[in-house]
Amino acid sequence: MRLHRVTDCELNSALSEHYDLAILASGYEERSTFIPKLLKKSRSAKHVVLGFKEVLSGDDRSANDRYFADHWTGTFTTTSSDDDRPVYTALNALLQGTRGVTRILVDYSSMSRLWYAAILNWVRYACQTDTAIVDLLYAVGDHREHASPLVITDVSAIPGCEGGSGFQSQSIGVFGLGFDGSAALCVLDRLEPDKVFAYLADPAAHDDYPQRALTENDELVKKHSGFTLPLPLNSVERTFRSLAELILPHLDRDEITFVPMGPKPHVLAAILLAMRFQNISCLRVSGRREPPEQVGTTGQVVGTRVEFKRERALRGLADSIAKVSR
Amino acid sequence: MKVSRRSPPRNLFEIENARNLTRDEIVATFIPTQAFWRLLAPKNHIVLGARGSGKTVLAKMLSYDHLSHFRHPSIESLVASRELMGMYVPTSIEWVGGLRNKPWQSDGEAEEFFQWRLNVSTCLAFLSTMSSCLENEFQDKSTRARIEDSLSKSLVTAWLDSDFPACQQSLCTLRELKKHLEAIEHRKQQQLARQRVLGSASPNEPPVGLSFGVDLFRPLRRAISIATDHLDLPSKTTWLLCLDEAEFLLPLHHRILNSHLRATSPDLVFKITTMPYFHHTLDTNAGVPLNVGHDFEYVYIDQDPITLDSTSGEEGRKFATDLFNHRAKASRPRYRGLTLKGLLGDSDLLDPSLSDWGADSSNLQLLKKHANDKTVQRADRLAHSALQFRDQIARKIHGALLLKEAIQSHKGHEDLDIYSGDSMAIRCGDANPRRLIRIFNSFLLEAKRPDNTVAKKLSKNTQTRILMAFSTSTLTRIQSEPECGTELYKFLSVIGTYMNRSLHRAQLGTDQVLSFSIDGSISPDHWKLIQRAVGLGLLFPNVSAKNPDHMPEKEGTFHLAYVLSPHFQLLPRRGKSRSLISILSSSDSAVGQKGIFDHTDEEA
Repeated sequence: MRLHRVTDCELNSALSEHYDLAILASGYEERSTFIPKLLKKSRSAKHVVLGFKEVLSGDDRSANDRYFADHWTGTFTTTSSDDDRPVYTALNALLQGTRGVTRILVDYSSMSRLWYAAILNWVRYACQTDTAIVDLLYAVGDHREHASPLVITDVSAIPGCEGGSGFQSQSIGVFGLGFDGSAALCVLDRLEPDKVFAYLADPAAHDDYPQRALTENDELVKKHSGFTLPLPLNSVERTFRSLAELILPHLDRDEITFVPMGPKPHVLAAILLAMRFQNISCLRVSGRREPPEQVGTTGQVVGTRVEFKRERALRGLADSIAKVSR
Repeated sequence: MKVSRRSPPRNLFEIENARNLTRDEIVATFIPTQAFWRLLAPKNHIVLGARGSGKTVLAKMLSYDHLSHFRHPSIESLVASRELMGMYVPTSIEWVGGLRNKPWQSDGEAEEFFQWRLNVSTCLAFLSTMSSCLENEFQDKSTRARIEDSLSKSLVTAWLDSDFPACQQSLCTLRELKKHLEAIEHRKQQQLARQRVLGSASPNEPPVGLSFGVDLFRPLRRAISIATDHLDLPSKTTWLLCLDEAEFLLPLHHRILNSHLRATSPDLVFKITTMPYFHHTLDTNAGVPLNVGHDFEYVYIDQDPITLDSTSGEEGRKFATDLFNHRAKASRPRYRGLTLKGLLGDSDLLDPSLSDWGADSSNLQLLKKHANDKTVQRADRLAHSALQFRDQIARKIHGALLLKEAIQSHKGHEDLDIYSGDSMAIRCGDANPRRLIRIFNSFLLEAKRPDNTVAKKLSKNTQTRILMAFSTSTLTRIQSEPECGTELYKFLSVIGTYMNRSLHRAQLGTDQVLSFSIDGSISPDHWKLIQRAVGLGLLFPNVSAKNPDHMPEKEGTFHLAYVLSPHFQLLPRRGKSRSLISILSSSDSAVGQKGIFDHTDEEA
């Protein structure tokens, strides 16, 4: 299937939809249960809860696990944030035989990016219907305290987002700025792109966040980046479109690598771009922080609807449009 | 040397990495070093150098595309004789990222995919080399087109016939063939992603790019043979495969490459660049490890600017000033007339006047104030011999006295001006081109006036402020380094703090502790940190001039990179060494030995 459309989706619209499957995650963050508590269980036929294998202890994690055990029947899978296999296993088992349009709801607020990329990859490569709609919800994080530096453990491409061969005339690094300035610099040192573009959430969760991101990434912004593009946190649709416009002049001739270090809706936009265009790769920078950052929520929710269509359905659509225009 | 005249010259001080420079810019600013001349030999080499030491420039300059544009009599005759044909293959983090994101693969599958992908990449590099060669050697366009057409068709037959019999008619240029290989690579990645999602390969879907799923370098060797016929290359031609950034590869990949270093034929040799201690293994797939000196040679390119100056007649200073001058010239006309010495002046610490050591001189007053009793008595004893006094006392202690006095009399460091002068900037660059360019660029950004002209001189205070900020930033940014960033930061901080205290809190002797030594008793954790710090160019082994390519293994003496001197308020010298154990166990250290490793691993 091919990525057909990315649009913003109101929370109320998602809450009133019926889904074939809801995929939720139990992590060590307080916000893991914020969106599940808003959802009506009956509106999704089946449920999967993914739990992080890495962090099994801690008050918040125990409370989150208890909440899911008490309120959500269905499959509960504990797995590593580095392992996408259980996601595919669950999706293959639970959505087999779906007819018409496949509808999936995902709360990716506390998910590893490998997991929500896996959900999108499953739709691309294994979904049997002609159309699939994935609604992704995100509870905006409240990072009030300055966290300790992120120590990188691995830098690799997100599966399905590997990009081209690396033999283009020049390379472009597109950095999504977050609050881990030294980690971004560290990746920049290893990536060594010819050109650097940066983007950051603005408007963001709080008014002071854009300036904080700029301060944390001062060296990258001042010494490396051509410019920094402010993009709204609450609109993946606009972020996706603006980033596409940013890299459009380079699409056919340059190697483009996204390094999204900012908030998850901006990571999602980068992943979707890499899934849409052949020579864009999207890197996953994983790391450890000591102690882990406790993230609450501001109460805002960012909703995104991603629509996939089988090529023949797209062709049919094109034929219909052609007929109408005739 | 020619620089492209099609577009206005860029400010090359803002581009510190060779990967970001165009071919003409690299060639125009290239300074051939001894390592470069060594690498031109038809032998296997593994080039070891810290990040920013110029490995990529060396690897790129060995490629035909660059070498054929370098104006130097020896090189021009080498290119004309077609003795060496170099190809450049980056195994960058983006490239390796597409290998590392498949942890589910078995060792066999991972090995197979690495070989497949490297086969495609080396063939792409071969195509770039051929394009350059045709353009350089055949001025007549119709002849060039005819040869390109027949070469492309032969390569299609060799590489693609089994997959795409129809390709032979459609792919008539090297550019079209390159596009086609890139598409194959993308389709292969998509196919693997699909297999992962579905749990197995679809029985109706044949594997993509079957022709490249053969022994490593076989498609390349076949292409070399075809090109030899089509271009009528001499039988003595040696092909250099320059694999850059091998530090990002895994031990599994190095083992595969090692097997080819061991079994290589004389017409294809390897130049592999990696960071020190990042040639992960000597193992091969043949069961017999590589023999250093026989199968290949290491070339360690990091240099100590002090040793370079003392053993090779100011070569370190010459390298740095050449780097500045070449970049300034290529960035014309922005920096016309600007010199490093003019901009930065002399260094009080490193270019001291040793003449004024009379009885009432300020130097002697400082000696009496800051030196320990033993040194003061020795100075008294040697006072009758100007030569002995200069060599054994003044030369050794003068910088430390000035530094100690400057730090003591400048609380808060706002007005500190001691880290200044061209010698200091050069020394803090550690003979590392990228570091030097970053330092130069920091100065030039400060010297830039609102009307875009450049001030001809920077004050010592400004220079000191810039160097101290640069030094601190170099240290703090390592905190996110993979696996051991926090531990490495603490480790270097403990060592630097110890050295700072021994300089600033105790009375001075003629030698200051600026290095540390280790022996076989070093813990694996500390040894790992030292290896990583050497790789990043934050520690350097005190290698001997007689055996400059030997990397010490769990023994020897190491000094802090001179770039860290301003941060820790040290002299940028090797000094004398103290054992690492005594430094770490010193109760005087800000963070004890235990503090370095007290963390818990957690996934972010």
